[in-house]
Amino acid sequence: MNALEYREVEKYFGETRAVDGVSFSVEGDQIFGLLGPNGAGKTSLIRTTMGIYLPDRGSVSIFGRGLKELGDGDLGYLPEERGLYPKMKCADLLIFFLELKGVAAKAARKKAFESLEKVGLGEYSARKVEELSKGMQQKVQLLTAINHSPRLAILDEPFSGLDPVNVELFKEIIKDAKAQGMTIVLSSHQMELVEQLCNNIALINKGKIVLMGDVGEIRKQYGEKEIHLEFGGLMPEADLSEFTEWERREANSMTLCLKDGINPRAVLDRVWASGGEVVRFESAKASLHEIFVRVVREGEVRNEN
Amino acid sequence: MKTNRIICVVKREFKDRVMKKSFIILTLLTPFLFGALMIVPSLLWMVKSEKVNRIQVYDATGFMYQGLMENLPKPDEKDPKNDGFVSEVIFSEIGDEKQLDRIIKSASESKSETDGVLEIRSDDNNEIVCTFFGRNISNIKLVNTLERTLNRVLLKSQLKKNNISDEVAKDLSKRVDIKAVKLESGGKKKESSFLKEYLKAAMITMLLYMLIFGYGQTLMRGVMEEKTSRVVEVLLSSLKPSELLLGKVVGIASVGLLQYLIWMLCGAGLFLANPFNFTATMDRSLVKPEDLILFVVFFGLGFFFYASIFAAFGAICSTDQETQQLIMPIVMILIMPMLILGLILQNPHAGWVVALSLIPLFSPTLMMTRIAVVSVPLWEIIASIAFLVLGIWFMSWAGGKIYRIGILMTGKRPNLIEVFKWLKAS
Repeated sequence: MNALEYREVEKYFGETRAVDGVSFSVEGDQIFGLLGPNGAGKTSLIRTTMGIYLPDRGSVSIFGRGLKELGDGDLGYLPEERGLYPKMKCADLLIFFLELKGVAAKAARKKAFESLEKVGLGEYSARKVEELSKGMQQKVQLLTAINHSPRLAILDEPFSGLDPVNVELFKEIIKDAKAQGMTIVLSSHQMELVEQLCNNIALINKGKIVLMGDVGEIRKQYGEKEIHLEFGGLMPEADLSEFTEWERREANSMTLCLKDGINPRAVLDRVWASGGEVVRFESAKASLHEIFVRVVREGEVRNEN
Repeated sequence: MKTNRIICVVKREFKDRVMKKSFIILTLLTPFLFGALMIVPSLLWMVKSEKVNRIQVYDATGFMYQGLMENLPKPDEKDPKNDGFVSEVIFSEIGDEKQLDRIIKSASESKSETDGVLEIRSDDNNEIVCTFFGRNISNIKLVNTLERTLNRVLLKSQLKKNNISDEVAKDLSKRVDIKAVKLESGGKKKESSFLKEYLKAAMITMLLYMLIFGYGQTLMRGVMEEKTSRVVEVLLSSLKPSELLLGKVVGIASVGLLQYLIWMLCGAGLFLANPFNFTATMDRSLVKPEDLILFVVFFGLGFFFYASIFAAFGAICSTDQETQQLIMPIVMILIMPMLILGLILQNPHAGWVVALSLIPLFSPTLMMTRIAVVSVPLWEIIASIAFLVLGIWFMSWAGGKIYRIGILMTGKRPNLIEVFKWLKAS
C-alpha cells in the first residue's frame, strides 16, 4: 500500500495555480525527497497533504485512507516556517503536542523528557522555548513532528539554518525514525543531503511534477553525458559549444554535458590543442544539484519561448 | 470535532493563563481594591481628625457669640449624620475691634495657633453678615456646621424678639424627608436610594465589561501570537481550526469564571468577617443570589459572542497597533450602558432600552445592568438570552471563517472588503 498518493491534486489561490494537477505516489518505509525551487508549490502541496488546505480538485490519500479517516497520531509535520509557543517550557510544549496527537498523559510525559535527553536538551526541559538558541528550538520543533511515532512524517526543510554538527544529528534522528518504521517525506534545498538520505525523489516546479523516480536512476539518466575537467594552470579559451548541450565554467574547472554521440576524447583533444593543462578528467554522474538546476532552468526557457 | 483534542487545547490555555503572574496579581488585587473602597469610608467615620481647631470670633452684634456658645452642637459617634463638629473646636472672643486686623494677619502665618477668625457684623439693612477667615477653608464640614449653628442662633433670637415660644418654634421648623423604598416582584420592599442603585449598576456593568473585554483581548492576543509565531501551522496539522478556536474560547472563559469565583468568595468572606463594621454603611440585600447566577450566564454568553469577533480580529492582525483601531468600536458598544446609565435608571422600561437589551451586541452588559436595578420581566430575560444564543451561532460562523483564513495569512492586514469576500467564499 502506498504511504501517500496524490491524484490530480489542484490548489488555486485566486489566479495562481499553486498546485497544478499533481499525481504521484510514495511507497511506505522510505525517506522520500520532495524537491523544488522556492515558490514552486511545495509548501502548498504539503499543506494540502496535512489537511491545512483543502484541494480544489483531486484527492490525497494516506495509507489508502482520506485525511478524515486517519487517527490523531498518524501524521507528523515540521513546517518550513518554524513555530512554537515561545513562552512555554520545552517539556510542557512537547507534552502538549504529544497529548494532542492522542498520546496518554503519563506516556507523553515520559516520552517528552526522554526525547529531550536524546537530542542533548535534557537540562533545558524546564526552560522556556524563547530562551533557547535557534538550533535548539529547531531540535524541539523536530521532536514535535516525530515524537508520537507517526506513520508518515513530513519534514519541510528540516536542515535549514543548522550547523554541520546538528545537520549530522538531524540526519541520524531522521534515519532512526525511518528505522522505527516511519515513512518520511522531506524537502530540502541541500541536494547532497537529499542524495545521502533519500531513495526516491519528486521534483516540483511551477505546481507540476517535472521529475520523479529513484535517485540512482535519475542520476544515471542525466549523468552519462556529463564530464568534469579540472585544470592546473589557466583555463583554455577553447570553444566547446559544438560538443556540448550546456557547460558550466568555474575558476579552474568546468562541467560539460555532451551532445548525443560525442566522444569525450574529442573534447579532450580540443582542450589539449588550446593549451589547457588538464589535471583531472572525470566522466561524472550528474549530482542532484546539477539535475535540479538544469530541470528548473529548462522549465524557465520553455516558458519564455 | 474531537473532544479529546479540544480538551488538550482547553487545558493548555487554562494552565498557561492561570500560572501567569499578571493573572495572580490582578485576581488578588481587585478584591483588595474593592474592599478598600468599601471599608475606607467606614474607617474614616471612626478615625476623626485629632486636630483641635482654634477659632477667634469678633462679634459686633453683641448677641451672636453668646448664642453660638450656648448652641454648640455635640458630636455624636453613634449617628454619623449628626450635625456635630468632626473635630474639637475651641472658640475665643476678640473683645476689641482694633485687634481684629492684627489677629487676622497673624492667623495667616502657618505657625499661628489661630486656625480661623470669624467676623460677625450687622450691615446697614440690619442683616447679619458673617465672614470666616482661615488658612484652610476647604474644611467644608467645619464651615457648614458653623453656618448651621449661627442660623439657629439667629432664628432663636428672632423668635424671642417676636415672643414666640420654643414649642411653637419647634413645630414651625419641622420638615419632611422622603424615604425611597424599592418595590420588587413578589411584593418585596427594599429601602434604597438613587446613589446606591447607580453605584450598584455601575459596578456590575464595569465588572462585566472588564471580564468580557479583558478576556476577549486575551483571546485576541493569543490568536495573534499563534499566528505570528507560526505555531498555528503545526497545530492545524493536528486539529481543525474550529476545534482550536473552541478550545481556546472555553479555556479562556474558564479562566474568567475562576477569577469571578475567587472574587465572589473574597466578597463573601469580606461580608462575613465584616471588618470595621463596614456593612453598616451598605445594604445587605444589595446583591441577590439570582443576580450572581445571571451574571455568570451573561458573562458566559457575552464572552462567547464577542470571542468570535476578537478571534477574527486576532487572525487578521499581526501587531497590537493594528488591533487598536478594530477594537475601538467594540469598546464603545460594551461601555455604552455605563455612559447612558443615568438615562437607563430614569426609565429602565423605556422601549428603546428594552429593544437595546435584546440586541446581542448590547444585551450582555445592558440587560445585566437593568436586572441589577429593576425587576425585568422574565420573558425579556429569556428573549435576550435566546437572541444572544442565535447571535453566538451566527458570529461563530462568520468569525470562524475569518479566523480560518486569517491565521494562515501573512503580510499586509486585509481590508474590510477583502474580509467580506472571505465570508462569501466557500
